[in-house]
Amino acid sequence: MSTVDEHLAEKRAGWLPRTLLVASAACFVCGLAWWLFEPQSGYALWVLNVGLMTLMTTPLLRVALTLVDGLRLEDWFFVGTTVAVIAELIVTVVDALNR
Amino acid sequence: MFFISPLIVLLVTFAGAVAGGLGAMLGIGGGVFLVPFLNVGLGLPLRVASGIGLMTVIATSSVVSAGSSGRGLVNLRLGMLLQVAAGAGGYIGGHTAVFLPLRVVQGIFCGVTAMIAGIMLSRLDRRNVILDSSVSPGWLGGRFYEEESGQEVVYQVRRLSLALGVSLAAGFVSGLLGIGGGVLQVPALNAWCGVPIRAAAATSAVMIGVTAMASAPIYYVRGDIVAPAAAAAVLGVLIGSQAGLWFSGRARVRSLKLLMASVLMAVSITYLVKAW
Repeated sequence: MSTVDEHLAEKRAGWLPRTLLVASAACFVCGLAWWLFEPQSGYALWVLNVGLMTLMTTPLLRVALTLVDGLRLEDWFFVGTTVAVIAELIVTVVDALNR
Repeated sequence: MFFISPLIVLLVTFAGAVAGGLGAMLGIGGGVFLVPFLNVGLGLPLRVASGIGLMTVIATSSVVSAGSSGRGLVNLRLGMLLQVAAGAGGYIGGHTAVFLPLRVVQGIFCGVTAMIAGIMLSRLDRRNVILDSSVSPGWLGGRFYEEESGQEVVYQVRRLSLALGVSLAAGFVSGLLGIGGGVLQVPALNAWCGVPIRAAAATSAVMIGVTAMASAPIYYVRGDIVAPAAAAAVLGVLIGSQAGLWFSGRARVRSLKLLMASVLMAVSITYLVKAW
């Protein structure tokens, strides 16, 4: 993969974190305002947790996008390492869900 | 559920802003500053502070990686390779956190930060860039436009096994302490592996979010990520990191290194006192 290709891959992967960040920030602003107004509200906590979930998916999807770029550019070393990272993240999430 | 008052939420937001600013400037998640503040300053249990710290690391990582994208600073190939080691370390660290006594964790925090500060100070004036842009970066190196020299520069990665070992340790520390691990990786990549500090910081910024995700779900399921406090910290980080990104592009390399070493020494001393 050439340096130019890497720069482009890097740039393509940048829009997704930005979008998810904005979405999670919106949840945090709304949820916090609600929680400050009504600390016992379960709905406020629900909105905040949706924001946390959205934020946590950001690195996962960024890695997935990086994998897509690696496949497109046929850089198999890059694809291999990215697949290994995704596998580790899946193991972590599955392990946490099983607790 | 752990109770958080509105005043604490406000303080957490402010702390998040400072952490985000420092994190964006230095390529770290800010957790190395935020976690001690939440634990020692505000009295939150260390596991709760670590859980919140991991969320701010993810936020800082997302902001900085979005801001650095396309400038050639992020070395995705090197980053993904090192991330394999860091992810494994993070998973182990996240599971280990519940078994270790508190003083041991505090002692580890103290020792790690002091060591890294020493590394940074010993390499203050060392530069890793090759000004001859016709030189090949090799299979893991890279090239980018450097403002300081006003030209495209090249760097080559050395001591890959050391970089992998440090990444494994960084991931372990991340999972154990709720920090991003960048505080280990950036100095190590810069001091020992031939990566210029801006490239090391940008690459680390992408990695730490993924590293944090190797343990954040574990903390979340255990209930250690208190939603109002985590949300407040992340909002603070989002604000502070914008300022940090602006400053990092204008600051001199030596200044960045000095700042990082200072932050680390302050944190190390805090935890030395706490563990004692």
